[in-house]
Amino acid sequence: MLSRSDFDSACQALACKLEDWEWEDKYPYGYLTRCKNYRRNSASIAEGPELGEEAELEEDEATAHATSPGSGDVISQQYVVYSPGFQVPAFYFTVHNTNGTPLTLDELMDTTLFKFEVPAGSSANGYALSLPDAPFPLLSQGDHPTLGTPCWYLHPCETKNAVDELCREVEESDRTTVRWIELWMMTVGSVVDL
Amino acid sequence: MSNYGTTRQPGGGAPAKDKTTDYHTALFRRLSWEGTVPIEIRVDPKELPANSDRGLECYYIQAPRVSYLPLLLPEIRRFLMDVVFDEAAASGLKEEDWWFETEEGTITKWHWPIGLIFDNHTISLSVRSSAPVASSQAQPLRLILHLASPPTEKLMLQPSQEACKQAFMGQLKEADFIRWGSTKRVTGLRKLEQDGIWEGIREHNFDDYWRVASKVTPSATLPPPAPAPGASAHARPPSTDAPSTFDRDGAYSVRSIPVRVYLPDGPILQEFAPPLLEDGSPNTLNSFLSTHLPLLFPPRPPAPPPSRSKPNPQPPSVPQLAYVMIQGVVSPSEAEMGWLGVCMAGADGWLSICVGINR
Repeated sequence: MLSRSDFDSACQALACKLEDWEWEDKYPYGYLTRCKNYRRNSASIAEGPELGEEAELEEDEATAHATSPGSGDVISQQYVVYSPGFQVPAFYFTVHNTNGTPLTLDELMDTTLFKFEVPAGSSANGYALSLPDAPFPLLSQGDHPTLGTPCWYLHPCETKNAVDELCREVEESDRTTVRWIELWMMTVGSVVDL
Repeated sequence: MSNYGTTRQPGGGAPAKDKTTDYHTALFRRLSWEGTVPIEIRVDPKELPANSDRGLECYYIQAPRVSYLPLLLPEIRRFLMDVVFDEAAASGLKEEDWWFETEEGTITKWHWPIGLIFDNHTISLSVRSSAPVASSQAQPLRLILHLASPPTEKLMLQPSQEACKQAFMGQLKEADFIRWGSTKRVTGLRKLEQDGIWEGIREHNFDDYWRVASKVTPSATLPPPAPAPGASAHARPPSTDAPSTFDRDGAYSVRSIPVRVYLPDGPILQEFAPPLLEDGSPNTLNSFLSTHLPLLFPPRPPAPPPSRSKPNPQPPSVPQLAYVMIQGVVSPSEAEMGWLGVCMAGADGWLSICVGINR
C-alpha cells in the first residue's frame, strides 16, 4: 500500500526513467500519461462512413510509423493514477479509432492492446469484463480521477496481490516505491500490452 | 475470524440490542432516503421525431435523491411514447443513444445519484450567477433529453440498468473496502441479498433496501469518550445506551469514511477520512475540510491565552468562505465524519460532500 505522496514522487522519478511516460501535475491529483498505438487483430478495414472521413485525414505525427488510413490502427491514451480507495496505482486508458470514435469493449479486446487470455466463465457485456468469482470486474468504465473523462480501467484490487507476491522475490534493499510501481507495471503488462 | 457477531442474524431475525438502530439514526436515514428533487425534462426540440405533439414535450418528475437517471428512463419513455411521439416516427429511437444535459451544457452522468447531480448543479448555478444563494423554493433541475449521438468523449457508460447496477455495486464494495480493508461484508451477502439492495433502490423501498444494507453499514454507535470532556457532546445524537463495549462494527471503528468532496464545476477530491483524529477526538467536517481545502476552510487558530481583562478568550473567528451541502442540507462544521458516514451517506455507501461558495 502506498501513500499518495509516495506514489507522486515515485512516478515523477519513473517519468525521468521511462521515456514515453510523462508526469502531469494537475490539480488536485497528478498522474502519469502517455499515448501508444496498437493494431486490431482482425486487421479489417473500417467500414461505412469512417472510410470517407479517413481518406481526408491528414497523417498524424503520433502515428509516425506511416500506416495507411483504415489499416486497423487504434490509438490509446494511457494513465497511471493513484487509487485513494485501494491505496495503490491504477491503470486507466481510452482507445480510439484514427477518426476519433472510441472502441467498444469487444473491439478493444480484439486489438494488440489486450493480451489477457480470458478464462472460461468470464463475461464481457459491453461495459465490463468480469472474471468468474471475482468481486470486481477486471476491466470496466470509470471517470478519470483528475480529468473526470470516461475511461476504461483495470480494477486496482485485482493487481495488488500479484504485486505483493512479486515483491517478496525482490531484495529488501531494492524494495523502494519506484520498484513497487515497476513491478506493478509488470502485472498490468500481463493484461495489457505495455 | 468473524466480525459478524450479533449484528448479523441469518434470515433477518429479531434485532440484537445494538442492532436496534437508535431513533436519530433511523430518522436521518429515512430523511435521506425519502428526499426527492424536482426535475424537468425537455426533449431537445430539434430532435423531436416528425409529427410529435409539440408543446407537451416537457416531463416533470419528483425523483428520489438515492435513485439514478437510468432508472427513470422507462417512465420518461412511456410518457413520451404515449403523449408526445408519433408511434411510427418514434419506432426507430434507440434508448441506448439517449442522454441528458443541463441547460448550461453539462452532460449528466448516469452513475451519479440524482441527489448528487441536483446539489452539484444547484451549487454550480449559484457560483456562476450573481443571484442570491438557494432560495427557499427549490428550483427544478432542468434537463434536456437528447435522443441520439451521445457524446462518447464525456459519457461512456450506456444508460442500461444493468450497467448502472454494476457501477452501484462497485461503489458499495469500494465503500466496504475503505471502511474495513476488505469487501467481505458485501461479497459475503448471498446473491439474492445483493440483488435485493439494488431492487430496494429500483422500487424505492426503504425497508427492502435497509434490510440488507444494515448488514454492511456500520452501526451508529457513540465514539469512545473524548479526552477533552464535553468537547463534542453537543454534536452527538442522544442515546440511552452508554458505550460499555468496543463496537467492532461501529461507525468509529472504521479505518476511513468513504467520502468524496465535489467542488463547484470542478474536481472531485477523495481523501482518507478517519473517524477519530490522532488525539482521539472525533474527526469533524471542519477538521477534515480544513486539512484538505485549507484555503476555502481555513483552520481556526487557537484562542489566545487568558489575560486579566479577558479571562475566557474565544479563538478568533475565521471568514466563512464556503459551505457544505450533504443530501441537500447545509451541514454544520462540527458534524462528525463518523456519524455522517452512517446517517447521511448515499445508498451506495458514499458520503458526498458538495462545497458551495458563500457570497
